[in-house]
Amino acid sequence: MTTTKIYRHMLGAGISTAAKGLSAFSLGVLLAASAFTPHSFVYAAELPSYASLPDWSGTWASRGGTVFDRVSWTLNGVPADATSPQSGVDTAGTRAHPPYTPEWEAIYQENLVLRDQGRFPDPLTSCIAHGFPRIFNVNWPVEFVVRPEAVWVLAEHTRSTMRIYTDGSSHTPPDIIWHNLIGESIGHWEGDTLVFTTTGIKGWSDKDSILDRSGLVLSEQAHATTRIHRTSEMSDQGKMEDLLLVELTLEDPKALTQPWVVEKRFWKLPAGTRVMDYECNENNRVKVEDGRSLFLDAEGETVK
Amino acid sequence: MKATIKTVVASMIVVGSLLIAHLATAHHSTIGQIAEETTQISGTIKEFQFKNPHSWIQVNVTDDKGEVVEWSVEWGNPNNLIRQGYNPSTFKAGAQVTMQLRQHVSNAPLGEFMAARFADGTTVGNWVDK
Repeated sequence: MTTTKIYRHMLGAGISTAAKGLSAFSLGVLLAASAFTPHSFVYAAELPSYASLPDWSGTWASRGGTVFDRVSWTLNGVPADATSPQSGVDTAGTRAHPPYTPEWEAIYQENLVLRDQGRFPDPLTSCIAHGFPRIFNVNWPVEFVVRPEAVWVLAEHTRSTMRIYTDGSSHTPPDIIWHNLIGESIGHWEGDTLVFTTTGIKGWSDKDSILDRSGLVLSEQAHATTRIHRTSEMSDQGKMEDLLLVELTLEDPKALTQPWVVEKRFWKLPAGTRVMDYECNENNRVKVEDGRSLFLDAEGETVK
Repeated sequence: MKATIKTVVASMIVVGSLLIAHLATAHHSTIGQIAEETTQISGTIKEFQFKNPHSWIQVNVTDDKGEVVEWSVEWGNPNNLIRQGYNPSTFKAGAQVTMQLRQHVSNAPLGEFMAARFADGTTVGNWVDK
């Protein structure tokens, strides 16, 4: 792979060159600013050239079910037909039902009951962004912007953006990392496969990570290794189609007894398909009360 | 108008069939518990709220007592509706319309959009003659 040396900032090896032409004041500002440089912002290693990176241009979208656990998925309390697109198809080597510890299996089963009662607190109902790993679990259009120093995942739904750094950064240590919805993703290229690890994720409750609307949750200790590469497969439309295969290995020392592997396929959409704006809060006529989604009528009153 | 609708429908079939099939799954909560049977209302479009997370069609309907009741009819999100060939002018304020919907189980003037027919006979959605 052809590489080009690019420095993310002017510290370290590049500082003497960078200092040329700088006033003492501006150098002082630069050095003062470095005191606040996040752990991950060390100067970069060798970066791949644009020409060596794979072509993931265009717009992509997954199909079928938007839940990770298709075995336990029901639609409004009714088990989904195993042959329907809602159910999806399991791939060899993957499983749908997460390998929970008994304690977390019990939490999940409680959530499944809440879900069937329409009381599971899905963050999306309140327009909270889906974050990671759920960003890979919705059917809406997504763009993958491949750059030497990072891959940006630009999702239409909830306007979610994910940045996967491939610049030689390292993860923020667990004791000081700021947990947020999208987490921190650090990756590298293995040929044409993007491999990255994601840490520092959380759910909206600060207690758990909500993976989908089925009630699937992981603990704050969850982390993931994701592999993405472009391939083509015979689709359910009966023809060979381009896709990005996303394989997630979710690990959670608290909630899972073993790594849990799930796959998502992002098929290429027709040329010209645009990713559009999505401001969920603009006209959200859903109000959540006691875990239930209530709807606002023309007068703004809840309908029960 | 009819030609326009036909053009839209043709575009949907030729260009967007794959897209529609796979992007149709709404992700935000819809109004939830709705009746199995279809309800038909006739009235005047008050407003087409072509906004996320879902669009809403506000329809003024004169009831049996002669009072005007404003119905709220939920449709898809603007993003997917545009990809299916619709736009903010699909329902213009003041247009006379007959609408087929599945009403909320509370019997409130609230429902999920199924189809509509304008005064000139053009239709939107899966109109079923009754």
